Amino acid sequence: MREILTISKLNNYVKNLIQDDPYLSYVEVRGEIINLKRYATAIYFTLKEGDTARLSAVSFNIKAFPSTLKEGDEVVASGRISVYEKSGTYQIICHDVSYYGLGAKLMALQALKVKLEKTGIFSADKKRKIPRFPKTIGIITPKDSAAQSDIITNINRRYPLATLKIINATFQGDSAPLSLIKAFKTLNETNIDVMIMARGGGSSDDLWAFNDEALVLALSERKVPLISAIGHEIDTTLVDYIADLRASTPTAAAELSVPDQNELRQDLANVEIRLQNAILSKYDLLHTSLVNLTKRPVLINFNEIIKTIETSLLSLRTKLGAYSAKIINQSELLVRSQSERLQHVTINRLNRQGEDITYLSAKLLTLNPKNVLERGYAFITRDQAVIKNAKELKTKDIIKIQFSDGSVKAEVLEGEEYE
Amino acid sequence: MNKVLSFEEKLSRLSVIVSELESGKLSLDASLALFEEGNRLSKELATELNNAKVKIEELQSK
Repeated sequence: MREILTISKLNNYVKNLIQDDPYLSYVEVRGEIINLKRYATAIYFTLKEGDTARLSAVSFNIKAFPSTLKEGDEVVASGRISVYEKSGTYQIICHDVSYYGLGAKLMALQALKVKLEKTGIFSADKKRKIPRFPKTIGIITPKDSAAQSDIITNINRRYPLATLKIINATFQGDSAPLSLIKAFKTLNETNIDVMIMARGGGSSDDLWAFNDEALVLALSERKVPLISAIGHEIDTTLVDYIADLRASTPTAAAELSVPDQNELRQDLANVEIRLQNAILSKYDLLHTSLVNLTKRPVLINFNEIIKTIETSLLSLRTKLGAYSAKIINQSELLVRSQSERLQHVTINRLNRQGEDITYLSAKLLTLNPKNVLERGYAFITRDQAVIKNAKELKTKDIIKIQFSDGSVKAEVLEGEEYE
Repeated sequence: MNKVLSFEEKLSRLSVIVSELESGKLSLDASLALFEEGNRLSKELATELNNAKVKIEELQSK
């Protein structure tokens, strides 16, 4: 005769049956979290597999349940299966709950980032400065990509003096990290000044190769600065972290790697103006000295020569001034070549003026006191000091009178104070 | 200065020349020589930019 069971007896029987089953004593089951309820001593939730199946779950081990977990997260719950007798339902009692899939990848990435940060390869003192005038630029891009043509176009537009060394690699899929490492190592052994690693846009899943530990460690051995143009502003990859400079697009990477020739041309035009101004000031200075010279009576005879030089300098300044103005205005090369001709003429002119001035200084040298003495003047010294005023001499002072051909000794008969 | 200067070296030489000229401490002869050298360099640099075209080499991973 069959026994009529109470529900509790049945539930207890099933519970024992399940608890004694070795397979169910430890399972790992995957699902999406819904109906998440956190309490002080337990966390209750349901695991869902699409619309086909559900499993109740509880975790009494609150520390093993990541605090970041939320409804919708795909997880792997591990633990034993048990029966909750009060409701006659079975559930998994979790020892551990962890992210699955992308979630797990993100957690692993975070852990890898922390680990690599500790080695110091991301630190600011490891960052290299991008050279201002790179001669050779190494570029790693996908074959025949928009990234590659964008970089070539923009470097050619900005700084056509550069040489590009391009190496293609696989940027997506499982083979990408190794392909990128090989391309990088080849480039790293080449004579280059800066390196760009660039790809076009894509879904964030495509970026996983750039979070590869081996790739990042390989890049830490770079001999030249690295500019990365991997993804979008929102997804920063580990390659972006180790790069010396991060660009948002391949075009931006090209622009960061070289100077702009338009700015260089402007700089050159400014330099030419500064050269003109500097040489003009030099002439202004000489001009002023000449004016001052004319005021010295001893040079009165040279007035004619100085007037001539002064006039030349004045017209010279006008010409140079006009030339400077031209540099500012000119943008056409045609105009430039004409003004260069004018400048050439000017330089010859300046050289001639330089010779005139040398001639003048030679003349000045001949104006030493000896020549004055030869014209019949004499000067007086006492104890080797030149006497310039009558007041300085007293009666009975012994003095020396210097003539052009020699000197005589004399005594003052009546000094100034005598009167 | 017989060796061929790079674009960057010429630019930096040009900047030295301008500073020296602007200091006004040089003799007239030295100033004129620098003025000429500066103008020549500036012209050469512009010509280099005008004639340049990016050179492209394709490498294979080893």
